[in-house]
Amino acid sequence: MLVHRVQCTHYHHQLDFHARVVAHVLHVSLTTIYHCCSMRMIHHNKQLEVIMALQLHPTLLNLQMLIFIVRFELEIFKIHHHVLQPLRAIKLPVLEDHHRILDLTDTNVQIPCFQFISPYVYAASRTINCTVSHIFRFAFMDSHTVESRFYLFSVLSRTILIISDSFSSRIFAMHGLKRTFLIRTVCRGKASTAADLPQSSQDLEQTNQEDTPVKTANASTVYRPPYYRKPHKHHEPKHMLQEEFTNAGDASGAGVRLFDYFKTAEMVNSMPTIKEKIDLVSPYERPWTRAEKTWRRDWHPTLMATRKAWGIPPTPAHFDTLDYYKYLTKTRVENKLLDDFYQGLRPPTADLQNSFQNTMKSMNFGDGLNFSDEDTQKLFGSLIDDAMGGIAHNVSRLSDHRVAYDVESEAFWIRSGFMFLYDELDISTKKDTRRLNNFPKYIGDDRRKLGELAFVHRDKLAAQVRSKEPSAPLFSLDSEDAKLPVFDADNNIQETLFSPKVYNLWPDQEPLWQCPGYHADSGETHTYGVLSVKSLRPLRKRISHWMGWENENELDDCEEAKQMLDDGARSQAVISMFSTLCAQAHTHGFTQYTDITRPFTSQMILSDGLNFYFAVGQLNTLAINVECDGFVNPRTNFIQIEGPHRLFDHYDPKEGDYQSVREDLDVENKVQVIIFYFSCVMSHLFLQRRAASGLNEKVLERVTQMLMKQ
Amino acid sequence: MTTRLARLWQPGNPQRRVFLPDFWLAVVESPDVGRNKLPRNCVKFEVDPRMSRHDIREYLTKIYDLPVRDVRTEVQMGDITWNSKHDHQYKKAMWKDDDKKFAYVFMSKGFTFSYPKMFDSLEEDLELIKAKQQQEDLKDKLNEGYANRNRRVGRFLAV
Repeated sequence: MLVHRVQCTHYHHQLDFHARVVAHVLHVSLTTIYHCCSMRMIHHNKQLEVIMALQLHPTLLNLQMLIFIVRFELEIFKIHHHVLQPLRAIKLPVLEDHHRILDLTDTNVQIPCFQFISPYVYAASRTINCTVSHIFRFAFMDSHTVESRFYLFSVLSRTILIISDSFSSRIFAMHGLKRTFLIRTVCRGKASTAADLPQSSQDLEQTNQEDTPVKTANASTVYRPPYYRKPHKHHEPKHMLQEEFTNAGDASGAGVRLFDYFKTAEMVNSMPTIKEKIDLVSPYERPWTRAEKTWRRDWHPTLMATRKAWGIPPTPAHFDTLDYYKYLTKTRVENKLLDDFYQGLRPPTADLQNSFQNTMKSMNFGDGLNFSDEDTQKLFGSLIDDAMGGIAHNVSRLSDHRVAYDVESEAFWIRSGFMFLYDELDISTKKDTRRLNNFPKYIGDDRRKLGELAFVHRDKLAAQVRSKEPSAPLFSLDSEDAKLPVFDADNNIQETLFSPKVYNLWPDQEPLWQCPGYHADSGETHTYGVLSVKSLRPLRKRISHWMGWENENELDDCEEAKQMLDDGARSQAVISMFSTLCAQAHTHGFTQYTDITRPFTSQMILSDGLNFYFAVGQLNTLAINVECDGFVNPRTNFIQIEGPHRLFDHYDPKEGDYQSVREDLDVENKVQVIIFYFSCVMSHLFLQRRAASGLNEKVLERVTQMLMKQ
Repeated sequence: MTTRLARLWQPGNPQRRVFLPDFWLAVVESPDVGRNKLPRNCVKFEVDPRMSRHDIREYLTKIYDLPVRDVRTEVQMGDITWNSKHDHQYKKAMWKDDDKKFAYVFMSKGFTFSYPKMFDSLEEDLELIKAKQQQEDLKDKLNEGYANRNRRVGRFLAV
């Protein structure tokens, strides 16, 4: 064995057999090893102990792996023995066969945190009665190369052992990490420890039976990240003494963010009532009172700006909001006919046709161009009444439903991905920098400047039908449909993401509620919204304003205005559907921190009185408030929108009659009553359009179908 | 609206019309990153503080025939010069700059606007050329002050 000559006599007394072996195997001088180790030692004036657990192959030439670990005084790493206690609760069969590869994922052992990996690896090895080499062997199972050894050495030279990404990602697969956090965190008074770990492996269950008592939460079993860990790196190091060689979790800030997230989740879970859960997750911070502002003195801390949610108006206040709303709600939009969804439902509409026409006449609807928003809402209320009256005798289930009029539907949520708001262009270097110091908190963001803005939508629904039973889901949460992306691959999100002010959202400082037509503590029994009706009448006025018109009469003739109406209606459908379902999920005990475990489905009718849109939506996820490394949530919400369908196409003011163009898809070109018709070829089918007296059958049929759908 | 004084209106006179108002607009550059970033179809103007949203829309549509869809205005207060700005209790304003009004004009959906780069290339080139020239000049002179060119070589000091 060739030992390199030690040049520095200062370290002679620390010479160690293991160090020599390491030096030999790594082909570096012994001085290098001691030099890098002693840097810490000098700072802390502590005796450095190098323990190298070497698991060598019988022949050095065929060395499969070099395993070593440097153990400093535990204080230096700020690791205390009590941190390791829970691990001891996990017993693993002692490995007698050293060549057997210990697969940590199989045996369900999770290393507690991704900070301080190396001491944990060491500690883990001690607690589970196997050598460190087993753990490292697992990490480098497929990289038995010289490079891996050199990698380890280079890490050692920084005095902190940072495990390669492959290692961390393999051990800390996301679910594992999540569970680990859940296990190791504590909420006031009650905590679970590793002893409470739900273990799937049978081996572990067997060993647990023999195990010693259940651990309780106390300072020795609970791990919290130190207070100085920040989600952002606020300062660049000015010189090498300020340099920190942090692990992956601290470098990206994801470690502390995730800890906070799962800790909040645990606190939410521990809340006894749903109202308290909602209050806990609410980002609302009340404004400072006048007394607080008046009597603050210079020696008091400054009053920080209170958080305000961005209020999304009841109708879009900007003409191009669809993509933005899709992002805010993480909703995938599909523009498709709903015929498949309502397949097999052919309700009679003759009664509805008559009764609704009578209602319109009694309300002086006329051609509907100058109808007010209030009247439109009343009209929709009667539409639901008439539709229910027409089918109530056949559908007994409707008697269990509850219909509400002029409903308030409010929801708040947090959406991540707004860190770009802190970006600035450095004039001298012409580079984009993220300015976090001396920069005001962007309104609606978290105190820590996480780029997680709060949004609130205070919606007014003309009518709502609720039931005790939930609607059938469109697809399950685990299906591929629930994981399809919101935007196409070629969509550039940078063209959509701007400050909320661009989309005419304004900060809303009122208290925030989760109210899907009722409040969580109201004792409402009909908690599932089956169908909501929303008036888009104010949108017409807005469009005429955008187009620079004095009134909205020209709206139906201008292509651009029609496109605006279409966009506005779709974006309103997205936001209304999401807020209703979000609030509904909250009133059933789910929050953004404790994501939904079953989908919520609802239907919606949106109309300005003339054009009708029908939508079916499903809430697949609420956890859209965190975006950092290690938080993986591929699920997206979904909405399918059909429309627009004209309620009628022609109005005869003398007779007061309505005429509409009907669209029927027939394979054969059979037309019975034709006033005028034209046909065109559409994908091998003939689309027939014919005008007939009365309102559009399609609209009336769809409304009835929505009420009948289970 | 106009600095020209109109003749006093008498009953029977035609309606007073202003054909060229004093209003002015100037395009302002907005950053490409951060919270002040704007979409492509939005143009930021600094406008005459007397102009209303309606005036701005009319100005741009009637004179420049632009497809204006939405106008939002913002008044930015001018800076105040205090006699002693840290003395919050007794400070006095010595000077206040005029307020500025900015307009964010949203054009129709497909419209794109990018701020013209008028002097960027010119300034950059000049600077670059200047710097390069300077480097060339300094190359030989850099250590001249320290170079001992009059040193005696090959002689003993004591001799």
